[in-house]
Amino acid sequence: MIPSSHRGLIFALDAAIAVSVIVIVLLNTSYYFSTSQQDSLPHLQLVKTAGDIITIMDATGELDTAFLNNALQPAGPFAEIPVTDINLSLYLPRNYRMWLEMADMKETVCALPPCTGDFALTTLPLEKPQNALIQVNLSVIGSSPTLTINTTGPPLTITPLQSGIYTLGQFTFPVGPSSVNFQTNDIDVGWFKILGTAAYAGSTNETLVIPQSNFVGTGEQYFTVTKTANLSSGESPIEGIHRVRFKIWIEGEL
Amino acid sequence: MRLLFFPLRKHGAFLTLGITFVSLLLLVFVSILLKHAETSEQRLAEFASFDRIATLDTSIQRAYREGFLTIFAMNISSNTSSLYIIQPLARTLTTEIDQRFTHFQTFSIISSQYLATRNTLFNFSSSTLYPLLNHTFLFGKPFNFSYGYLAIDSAADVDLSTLPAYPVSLSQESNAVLLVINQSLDLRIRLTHAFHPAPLSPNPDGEGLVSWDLNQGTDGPQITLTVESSFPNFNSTITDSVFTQTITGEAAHRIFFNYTIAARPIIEIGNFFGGPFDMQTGILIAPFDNDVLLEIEASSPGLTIPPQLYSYDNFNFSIPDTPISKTSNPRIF
Repeated sequence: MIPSSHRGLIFALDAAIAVSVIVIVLLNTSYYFSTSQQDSLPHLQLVKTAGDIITIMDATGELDTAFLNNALQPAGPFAEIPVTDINLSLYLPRNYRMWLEMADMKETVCALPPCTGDFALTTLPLEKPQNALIQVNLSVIGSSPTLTINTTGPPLTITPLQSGIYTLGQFTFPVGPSSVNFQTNDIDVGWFKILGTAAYAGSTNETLVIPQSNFVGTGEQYFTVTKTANLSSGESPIEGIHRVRFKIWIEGEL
Repeated sequence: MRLLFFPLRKHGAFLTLGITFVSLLLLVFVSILLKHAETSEQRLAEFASFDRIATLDTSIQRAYREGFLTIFAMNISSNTSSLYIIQPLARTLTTEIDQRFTHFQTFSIISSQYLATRNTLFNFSSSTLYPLLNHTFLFGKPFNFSYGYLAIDSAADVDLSTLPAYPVSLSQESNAVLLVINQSLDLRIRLTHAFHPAPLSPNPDGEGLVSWDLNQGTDGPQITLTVESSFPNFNSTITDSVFTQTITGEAAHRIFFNYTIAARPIIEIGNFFGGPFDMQTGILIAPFDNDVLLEIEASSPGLTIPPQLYSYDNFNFSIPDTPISKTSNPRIF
């Protein structure tokens, strides 16, 4: 028999234990609830913001301008998009940072001009094995021009009628640098590039440090580069379709 | 606890039972909430994946449209009931048309990585060029789900944390450029601005002839119709509607629409009315040296959504190791 003076104590202990259970349950509930909502929606918004910026720059022609201006520069392995062509800070909210990469902006230049006869050139190092096209800038210097290119697969031969940029492929490339064999006749090769690869892409800031601790949203879009052309002379009004990739993040906490 | 160590007291037992019941209720609530949170996470991941694909799809359609309209110099507009396509005609086979399709061949849809499928589309032989040369069109209205469909298996487990790293693969399947009709439409086709102050040979002052072939695709009732319309003299501005046809549309069938313009007497252009057009002859098909505009108006009084023009190309998007994919037909405008 419990003394009546202890009944209150027992009641209080019982209630305290029960309340503790409830508090534990509530804490767990709140933990799981907060975990489930953690950062997902703001991340999506971040990526959508970057996508909208790319779309705007496509509509305003900034992407075309940046690409065509790069084409006017000397060919080579370095292609940083200048801020005068693409100024991302014009569109980004405060504390947002964005990095943009445009495919097909770099070239492997033939270092021993004139590049005629049979020779091999080494590609920029690829990050992954890839099937891709090769674009070649060539000059016809004789009456019987032919060009044969091969890498690891079967060779591909074309007979270009005039000087210009030609696209051939597709070819298989391994990871890292690889050798491309050229067999030419009456052709001088200026440069070539492997289309659609990260190795031959140019970016807005090639030395930018992208944070590892924060969420970094990524995405990609394609855009058409158009140019003024005289159709009757056989010039194409389309330079090509290229991929643009982006990374976007917020400096500090979201 | 009172139940275990002390004689039963009704009030205490009810209190303990009540608190226990409330605790269990909360546990159930927590488990429901947790399940809901997990489901929400999965839905969010699926939404994010689809959004990534939809953005890619939209950008490719935009790029495709820009290239297509630039190369073929087409002007397309619409209102609530009609679609208008206006295109300057190429005057010879050997120059302008060849150039346009040469440009179209080199117009790299997906930059570089999909040559095999691109060649299927752009490596024309004379036989495949025929319908393209004649601008085989279909007319269509939007599908229920925009212009494609999304396939998601809700049972799949998609990890949102790896989403930004998902590679998206893209393939293209096509062998023609077509448009799709899935409704009844009145087609009105006419030539305008065919003024020629100094007519060219071979028929400087003769009668012109326009032939329209209308063929419905294999996935609907077959219609084959060949109509010839003549106009009296090239040395005039042609504004007459040369062809009007009502097409009774059913879901997802296609209308092939071919036209050829020639001077009379018809010069040797293969089996012009009975068989394939001989692309290799390179014969003048429209002996004008001024702009000749082909105008196509597709209208339907019953439409509530403007008709739209789609390519018959299919773009398939998918995220590897997930059930998320999308197939779409690029919209031309």
